[in-house]
Amino acid sequence: MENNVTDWYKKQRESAMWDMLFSCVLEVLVVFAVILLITPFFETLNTFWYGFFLILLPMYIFSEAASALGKLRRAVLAHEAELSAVPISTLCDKPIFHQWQCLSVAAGLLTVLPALGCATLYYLSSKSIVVMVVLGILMGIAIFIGSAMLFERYAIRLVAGTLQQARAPKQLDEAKSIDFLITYHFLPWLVFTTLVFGLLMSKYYLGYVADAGEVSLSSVAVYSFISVSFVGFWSCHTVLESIKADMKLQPMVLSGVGKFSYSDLVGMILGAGSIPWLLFFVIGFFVPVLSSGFWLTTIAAVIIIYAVLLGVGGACLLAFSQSQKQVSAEVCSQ
Amino acid sequence: MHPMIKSAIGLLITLIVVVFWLSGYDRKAVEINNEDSALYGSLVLPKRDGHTPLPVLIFVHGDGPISSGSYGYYAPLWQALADAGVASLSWDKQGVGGSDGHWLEQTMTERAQQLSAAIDWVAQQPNLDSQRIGVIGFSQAGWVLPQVLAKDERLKYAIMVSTAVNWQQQGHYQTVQRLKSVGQEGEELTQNLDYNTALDALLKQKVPYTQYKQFVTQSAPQSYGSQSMTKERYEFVINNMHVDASSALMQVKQPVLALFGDSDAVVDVQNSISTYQNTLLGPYQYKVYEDANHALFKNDYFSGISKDSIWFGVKMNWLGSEGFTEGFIDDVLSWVTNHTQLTNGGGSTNGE
Repeated sequence: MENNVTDWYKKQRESAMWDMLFSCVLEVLVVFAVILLITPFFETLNTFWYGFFLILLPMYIFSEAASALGKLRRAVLAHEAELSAVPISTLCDKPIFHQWQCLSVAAGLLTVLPALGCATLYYLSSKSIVVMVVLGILMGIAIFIGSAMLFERYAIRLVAGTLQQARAPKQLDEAKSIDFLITYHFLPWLVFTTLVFGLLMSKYYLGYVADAGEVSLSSVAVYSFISVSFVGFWSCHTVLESIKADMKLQPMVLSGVGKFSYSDLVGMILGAGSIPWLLFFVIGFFVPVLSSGFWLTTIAAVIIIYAVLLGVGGACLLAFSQSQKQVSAEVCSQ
Repeated sequence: MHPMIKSAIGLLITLIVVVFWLSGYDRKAVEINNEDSALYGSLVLPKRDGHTPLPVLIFVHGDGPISSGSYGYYAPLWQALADAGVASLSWDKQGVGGSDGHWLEQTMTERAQQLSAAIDWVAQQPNLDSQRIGVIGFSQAGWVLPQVLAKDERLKYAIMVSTAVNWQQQGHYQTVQRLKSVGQEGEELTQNLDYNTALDALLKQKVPYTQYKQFVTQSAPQSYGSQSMTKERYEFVINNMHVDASSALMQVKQPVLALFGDSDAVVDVQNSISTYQNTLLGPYQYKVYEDANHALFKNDYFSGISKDSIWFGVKMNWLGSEGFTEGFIDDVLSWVTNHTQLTNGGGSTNGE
């Protein structure tokens, strides 16, 4: 039996490593390239680059590790029957029960090291475009190493914790359900998404203002709608499967939530996305243009927070609705 | 540890070495105070230890929202200068990157004040030699450099790249070239040039922006092709269109090297050459490169690519010094080293 677990874990570990490698290098390169190609391109606005290395790199390490651990958690759930006879005590002494428990002060301090390394390298480099591209790849590799090491440290403990939860699921009351969803799904992604997309949008706005002298409120309205839609769907996609797994492992209560389908989700995000659009359109009658970097950055950050709230909220509603449907189906079949 | 992590660590170390290998010079972020505002820029230093103060070449941008490195355009020059032991200084235009204000709110006189502030800043740096300061200006800098050269003897020499003398004459030349490049001739060309003359006359009167917009909407021939300016650009133009470098050039005593491309569709090269010849007091040398455009890029590589496009930036950065016309970097380097007495004792130059 132990050999079965070992083989199963080896397979999961291997797949997680490749997933993390592709995800780290490609995702980071895409974000890096977008920042690079937004005027003033790779030059100046050094604060953006220091922000990118010092803040985003540690956050990326945790987000990639949490995503990989989340996938492992779902894999445990999917192969629960196969692993039902495994004694949890043989796996580890200190199980963890959620992927975001990889976030700790000690791990946080360790992730600051590659961040400082990349920032120092940037400081010492000639900052030409070729150097920046190499730095982008280097950052992706550093994130892979960091997240892979976190994965290695917490994977077995999470397998044990997930098995323990799956064998004796504990129902959470409504207050605890909301608390859990906010702590483990909304807050981590809110911080990550606001910083990543906020950084992109504020750099875009600042570059735009430098080029044209101002941004019209009608443009801000359009960009806000696009931001809300994109970030909303992205956040929802990122957390949905993980929330579904949590709702299986810890049945939750969200009173007042009825049926909620994929089309409701699309309607909700697009519909809510049109609110800032309308708002800026109306404000545009009084303040037709903006040139203040402070206000544009604030708008970008607020819009991203709103989008994450929508995306994660939508994912919670959809996951809960689907879990209720499943419960009803199970009751009917009995 | 998983073998993939071990391999990744190996790759990481290799990439760190590559970054150092590719970084042929040190580029430091600097802040220059100019009256009440701050200019953020780059000081490029050779990668070598040394206690001798370095000669420095100050870069002055052309038109547009340009960052300190001009998006990679200066990189080949910076590399060549750093290899020769010369520092380079450049800054983000106002509103670009970290610099305060907005570049469209500037007059050429204000740009000249910024150059003076940069010279003051250089003079305060212990690692830079205030006795060996030169300046290189591109395109629009042709209305900036002469103002400072005329009154600041700390500038020892100048290099003018694709610079013009009179704003309105340059604007007219550029319009003619633009219209001819799309095949216009005869009556159509005359009609468009008449419209352009009327537009210039209107701009000279500094009419309100709404009146300008109304004129463009009502009077611009379909074939004129150019869109109306934004309010900010319009104000920039009416505040600067009176500039003419001639009077300042007549007071310039420092050696000047003027470089042009024979396919320049922006600046009337012959007009600039002859004006410089007739006005400059000091040694003057010029060169016109064959098959080179306004930015002194090789026509073969950049004809048909819009300078605003990202493709232009990617290609320029990819080609590096290869993208420049043959001899441009060598000529700049030779002028700088001669006038900073780095190689052959700073021999004086004669007009060509």
